[in-house]
Amino acid sequence: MNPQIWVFVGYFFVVFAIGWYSLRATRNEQDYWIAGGNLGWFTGGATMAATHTSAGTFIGTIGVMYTAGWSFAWVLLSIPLSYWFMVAVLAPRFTKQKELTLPAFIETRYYGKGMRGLAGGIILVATVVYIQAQIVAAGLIAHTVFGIPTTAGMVGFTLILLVYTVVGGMIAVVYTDAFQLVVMSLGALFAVPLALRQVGGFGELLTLVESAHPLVFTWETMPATLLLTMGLSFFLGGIATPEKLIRLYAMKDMATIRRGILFAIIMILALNLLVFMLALCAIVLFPELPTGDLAMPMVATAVLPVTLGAIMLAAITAAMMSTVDSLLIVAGSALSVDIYQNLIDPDVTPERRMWIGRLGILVVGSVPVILLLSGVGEGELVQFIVLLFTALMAAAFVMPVVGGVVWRRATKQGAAAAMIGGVAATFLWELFGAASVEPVLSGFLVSAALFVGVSLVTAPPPEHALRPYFDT
Amino acid sequence: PGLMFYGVFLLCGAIVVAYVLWMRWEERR
Repeated sequence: MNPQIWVFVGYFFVVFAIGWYSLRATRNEQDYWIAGGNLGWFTGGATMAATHTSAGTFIGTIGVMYTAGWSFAWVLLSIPLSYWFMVAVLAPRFTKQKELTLPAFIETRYYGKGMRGLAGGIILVATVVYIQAQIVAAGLIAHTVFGIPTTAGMVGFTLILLVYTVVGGMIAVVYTDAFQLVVMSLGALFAVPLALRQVGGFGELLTLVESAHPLVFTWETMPATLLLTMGLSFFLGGIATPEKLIRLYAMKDMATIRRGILFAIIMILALNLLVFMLALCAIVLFPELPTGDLAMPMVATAVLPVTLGAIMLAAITAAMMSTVDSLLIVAGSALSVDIYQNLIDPDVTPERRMWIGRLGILVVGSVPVILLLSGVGEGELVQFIVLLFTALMAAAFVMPVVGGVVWRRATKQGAAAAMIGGVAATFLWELFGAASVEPVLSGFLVSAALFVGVSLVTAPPPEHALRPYFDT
Repeated sequence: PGLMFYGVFLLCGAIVVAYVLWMRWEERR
């Protein structure tokens, strides 16, 4: 047994132990979907930060900086601003009436079961495809660590994720997230000093980076429009993705949310800045990599001693798993609560609801791996949705959610037009628009125009839709 | 690598400090 396998066995053991404990703590639907709505600032903030930090942070972000240089680091600043906006503007009214899912909020504010089904459908399709992309990354990690074929790794990770998520629901997700955040932090904290020592220290790093890649610290590596619209994408995506919004319902009250988000902001900034340092080290140590995505695996395998390398790989795994389990909750609740119980079989007894919820997660977790094994997963449409996940969520939900709690005149028809039009405009820009502008811009602008325009020409919302959110 | 590099760290710190001040102001109202 080598140290790599020991690190991973210990890591999976802790995750399963938390899952088992959570099964006993889950008593009702509210426990299962929003962890009882009673989280404190530490667990609430930790689950927010762990969900935010995905395999994309540890592999994609470092890859972008490896190829495009430091200007990408400035996009990071949009993340804390996005969370601040969420806490200051959105959360106070959004959380006045606790719901179990984002589409449930849409139903209450926009007075219609059909609206809830529409929101659930958009979330379900986009999230399942996005899970698929993370599962591909999981297969590569399993191949690196255990030397097993990537398909076996994809199936194995899917089973591990499904076991604790199906059994323990949101409580399992929240407490495993807190543990996975610790693993991520350890990986990043150990790796940076060692990588810096390989390079010859921090002062040496900046000099060597410039001789290896002279444009790193200039603004010439990326068009300004791309940087600005990437920042916009992070900002809008941070506000409106369903896996973040339900965490506002999961936390106890506004004072807890303010503190929890502060903790999440600090953790996300620290993790990203550490990863940026690793990217600079990779530019010096491995100047000739064919793609930037190889930078992190190279640091984990070639720079770090074997046990620390294993902890780094566990950190990447933790980033992936803590994001996927949250997406499973979101997609599973969209399928079983917002679509099945809402539209197909509204008379389900509370006891059966829990089992339908578990079945929903089992289905949304199995579909990605089945699609991948059957070869459908490599299609172009799939790649498209993965690339556009944040943009699609931002275009579909920012206006209906934020507009819904700040503008009393917003109507059901306006919100429906904003969701459908925003999704369509995002796809169309990706197909026909300029590559130097992220598609989120056109998706958001079209969504906003339709939201306001259609709301103004349709009948105002009834009193009962506004009462939960506005003081009258 | 002057302000282009260190600016990100400075602004990250500034945003966190500003958030804490806002939080204290918000809760004293």
